[in-house]
Amino acid sequence: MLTYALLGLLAERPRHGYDLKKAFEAMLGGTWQVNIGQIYSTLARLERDGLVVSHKQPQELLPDRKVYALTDQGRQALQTWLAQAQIPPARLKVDFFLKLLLARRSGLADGCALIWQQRQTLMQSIAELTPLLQRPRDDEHRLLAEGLLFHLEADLKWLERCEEAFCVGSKEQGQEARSDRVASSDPPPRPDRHLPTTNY
Amino acid sequence: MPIIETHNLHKVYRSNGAAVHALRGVDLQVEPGEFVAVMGPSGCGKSTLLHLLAGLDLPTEGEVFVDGHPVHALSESRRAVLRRRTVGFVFQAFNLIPNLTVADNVDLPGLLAGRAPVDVARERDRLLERLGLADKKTTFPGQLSGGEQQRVALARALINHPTVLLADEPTGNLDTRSGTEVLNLLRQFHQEGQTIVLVTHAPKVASFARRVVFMRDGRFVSEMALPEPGDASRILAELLSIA
Ligand SMILES: Nc1ncnc2c1ncn2[C@@H]1O[C@H](COP(=O)(O)OP(=O)(O)OP(=O)(O)O)[C@@H](O)[C@H]1O
Ligand SMILES: [Mg+2]
Repeated sequence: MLTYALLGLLAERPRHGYDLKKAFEAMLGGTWQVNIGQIYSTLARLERDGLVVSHKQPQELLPDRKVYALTDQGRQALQTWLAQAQIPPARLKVDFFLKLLLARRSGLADGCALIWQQRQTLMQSIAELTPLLQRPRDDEHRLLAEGLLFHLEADLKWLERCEEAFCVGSKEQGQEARSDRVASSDPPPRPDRHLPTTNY
Repeated sequence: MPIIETHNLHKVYRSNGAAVHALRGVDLQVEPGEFVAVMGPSGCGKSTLLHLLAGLDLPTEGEVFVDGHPVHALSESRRAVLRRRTVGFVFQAFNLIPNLTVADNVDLPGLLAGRAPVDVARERDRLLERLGLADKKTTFPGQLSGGEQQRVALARALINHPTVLLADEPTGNLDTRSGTEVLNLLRQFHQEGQTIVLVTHAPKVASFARRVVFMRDGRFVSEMALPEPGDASRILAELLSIA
């Protein structure tokens, strides 16, 4: 990942190591700190493989520094990588699901309580992300937040299914018809049926 | 003292012989100034609950107190008064009166409450200004976008300074942008002290509240407090490193 990020940033323009570190971090909204050592070791490897070249840039009073630039070969590698579709990662919360299964089997925890707790954790994250939706539509961090929000919403929807399967109770009348409805994924909310046309 | 309090609220609908148990013992307490979201899947009883709070319908069993009034025990006419004075309601479908102008729609509950027309007009102008609708006064609802209509509905709901504002999927018919606009307005009114109860199936919508109650099959199953909106970079970092 870092490898291609550095290639991409060098495709913009030649940069020195510290500049790359700052540009990378800014690109992701300061959410990822990279070690400068990691930047230099990655650059060294890229240079060895012929994907970047460096030249020494003299500085007043300070030691020379290395400025890195993309080679044709590096540009090609980046292009190939960019053009590849990303294999969708399985993002199901395996750890959580395992807990749920083991809670049921061992009887040592209430699966239903685990589900509710998990839901609260997800809601908390959603509430922390939604302020980013105020930013302009082309803001990169907003876009990032939107992606994460879709995932969190999907996880919440799945928890609703888990709740159906794991939480007992309320299996009285009217349940059969209902479970069909909940199971059909995300029915749009029905408009209110039994309302007067005004509220006064 | 809570501004809304329900005890063991049950609602059973009977439609051609079959009984639908829409609420199965809901206990809700809302303190003055709170912004509460009730969240749950379709059919779990959210609208039913809100209608009982507003006195639009009566519970099969249990009690509802709003601002000290025993809503469950009031006659239809007393509940109508309550709806005019004590609660404001925002619906998913806006429910504006199509052949009245924006100004007249907003004024109506004020005039029905017997307030002086000049007071009502002053209040309405202030609200419309606030909601970015100052230039729409003489427009008819049909000529407005969904977001604008919902803001008119919000002005109408607030014209009588209701003790509580009830909102049923207020963004359900809106695109993300106008939905967020409406939710921001709700948040602002909350910050100025307005008590709000919002029901929704959508997590993002619920996340604008400060307390969320989760509902399922006519019951409350859990609840949580939400943080003051703050710096999102911590959570971005956390989620990205997991992802
Ligand atoms: N007037 C009515 N007559 C008969 N059944 C009703 C009536 N109103 C609601 N119900 C039933 O009561 C249950 C709860 O309905 P309610 O409208 O409160 O759900 P909701 O949570 O608001 O759902 P949605 O998110 O789809 O709006 C549902 O099973 C619904 O079909
Ligand atoms: Mg509803």
